[in-house]
Amino acid sequence: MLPTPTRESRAVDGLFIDGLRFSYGREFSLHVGSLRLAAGEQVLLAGPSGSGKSTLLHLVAGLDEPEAGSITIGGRDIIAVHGARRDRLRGQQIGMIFQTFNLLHGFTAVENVMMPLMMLGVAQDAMRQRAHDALRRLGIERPHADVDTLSVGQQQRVAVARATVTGPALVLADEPTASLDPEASAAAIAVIREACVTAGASLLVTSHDPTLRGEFERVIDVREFVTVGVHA
Amino acid sequence: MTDMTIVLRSLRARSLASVVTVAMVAVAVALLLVLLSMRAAASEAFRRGTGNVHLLVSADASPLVAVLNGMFYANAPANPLSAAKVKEIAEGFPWQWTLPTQLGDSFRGSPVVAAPKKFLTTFEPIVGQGFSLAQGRHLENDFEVVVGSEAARTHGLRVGAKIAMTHGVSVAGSEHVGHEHTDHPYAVVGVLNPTGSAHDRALFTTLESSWIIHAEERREREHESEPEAESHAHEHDHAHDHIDAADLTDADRLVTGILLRLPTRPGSDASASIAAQFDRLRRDTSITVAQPAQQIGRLMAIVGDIDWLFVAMGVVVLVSSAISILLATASSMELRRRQVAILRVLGASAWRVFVLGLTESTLIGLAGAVLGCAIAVVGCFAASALLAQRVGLTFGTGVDPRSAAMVVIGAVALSALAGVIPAAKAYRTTVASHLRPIA
Repeated sequence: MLPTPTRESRAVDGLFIDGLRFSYGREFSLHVGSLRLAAGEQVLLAGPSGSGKSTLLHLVAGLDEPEAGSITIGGRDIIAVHGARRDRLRGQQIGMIFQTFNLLHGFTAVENVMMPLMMLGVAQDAMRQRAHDALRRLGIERPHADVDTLSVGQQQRVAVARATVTGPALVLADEPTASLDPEASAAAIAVIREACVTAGASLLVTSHDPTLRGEFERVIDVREFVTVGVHA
Repeated sequence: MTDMTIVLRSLRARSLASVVTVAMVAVAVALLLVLLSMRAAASEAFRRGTGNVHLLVSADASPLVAVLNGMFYANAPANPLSAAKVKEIAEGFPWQWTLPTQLGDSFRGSPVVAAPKKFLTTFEPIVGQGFSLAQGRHLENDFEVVVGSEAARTHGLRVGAKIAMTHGVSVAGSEHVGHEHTDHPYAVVGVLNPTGSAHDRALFTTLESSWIIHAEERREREHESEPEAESHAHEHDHAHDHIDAADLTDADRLVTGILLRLPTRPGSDASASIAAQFDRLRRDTSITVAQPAQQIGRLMAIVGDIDWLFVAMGVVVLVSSAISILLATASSMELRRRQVAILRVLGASAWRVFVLGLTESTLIGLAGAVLGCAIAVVGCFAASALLAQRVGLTFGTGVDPRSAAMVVIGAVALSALAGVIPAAKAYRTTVASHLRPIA
């Protein structure tokens, strides 16, 4: 268990979770006493399917409501704010990458990348410029193509560009390689890690793939935090 | 890129459903607008036609028919009034004016009104607004004609044109052509400004002109039916006997209606005097007496009950189009839960997602309303032309702006209301559960 950071260090942490409690009825309970990701740190959250990795990610993103605890991202506690303020904080401080990318169909690559910037109220010109830059960095040559016409690899790069374009403090990647073969999987992780380094974001990747363990300096098994079949 | 881009892309993604829903709203809006505009225009057209006439006397079957024939030129009255009856009525009361009219001839389907020369300067189609000339002058001599604005436009008539009238009022646009009075061409001496009434599609000439033509024809027919020997004996007398006003007899001086106005003083109410004269005249069972304003009021009351039914049907169509918006948006929202969840992850608030959903349905309503207004403009024009042709009423062709504003606001408000439930669904979307990979 990592030591509790000081107030000063929390302010620059990518993520700091303190005393987090969450449960689904009596069958599933999650308790994270303390978890810290330093700014720019990249961590693999490992564990088998259904072990609670996605639940923890959703809690970190402020999409689920914990029973107790705090989740500080880039120095701001996302659990302490509610409603539109939490949504805005999520948009500013967190980028998310999904297994199936969750790109918006019917929109072009650049429009998908512009979307989080639009939600933050970035000016049109700046928004367009930043989205194009992000796509160019990731090697997307057809920014105006509908995302449905791009290859799977390109779609993933668009998803990475969308997750990092706002300059978030933390990128959450939920099983980003689950549907890829081992070679593509390694390449995808490399792209995500490099994009996070460029963006200066911490990275928390979930995966049930044991081969990824060797790619990360720090690996946390989610089962450390989870109790299944609790009967109070 | 803006929120509107998201809304428009969403509509485009289900373009068929969007187009059908917009079309439904448009049809409902157009239907309502045409009905409301035609209702207002019909009321106005009828109100305009009767002008400053207090009473109308004819030999028609009923007072309403008398008004529709005598003032709106729906048909040529079948039965005439004799010269003696005209004299009796004219001298039976100190009227402000009496205007005997004869209807029966037409020019290419437009009715010809034969009346005293003073008709165009005495009768006001709208109270306080008499006829005014756009070209030329009023009637001074027989076989002159002053043309209403619509008739002049339809037939391309200008001052100086020579025309021949046709016996009988044929229905405009029909192939029926009566006997043409080619022996006596009429000279167009004036063209009237529009009045917005049925009089705009009429042509006006003197009573004497009409009497002379019909007298000549009647005598010619009588001459043809005489036995041959007798016919030869009278050949000299009848050799294309052109007659003039002095030759007319009472048998020639038939009219089909008399317009009457009682003397009035400014500010005084003449209704009691009108009612008294109405009661006095209707004791004569050989004539039909009508108070035009009253008859039009009755007609509008009958028609009004019916057209409110149509308006109610239009409202029902509008409401059902709002329900279709609700269904279309709600079902598409079910399919778009994931999109909503993604937008939420990207920083969109629940309220923003709600507004996006509401904007979508409102936009459908607005597009439908605008399209409906455009259809209504064409519809009013078509309905106006059709009614002018079939009923003989000159209607305004424009959409009533107040009705348009009301219907557009109503359609947009209903559409927005229909979008509340789907938008609320979007608002309540549980983000985490909709982000999981699709199995």
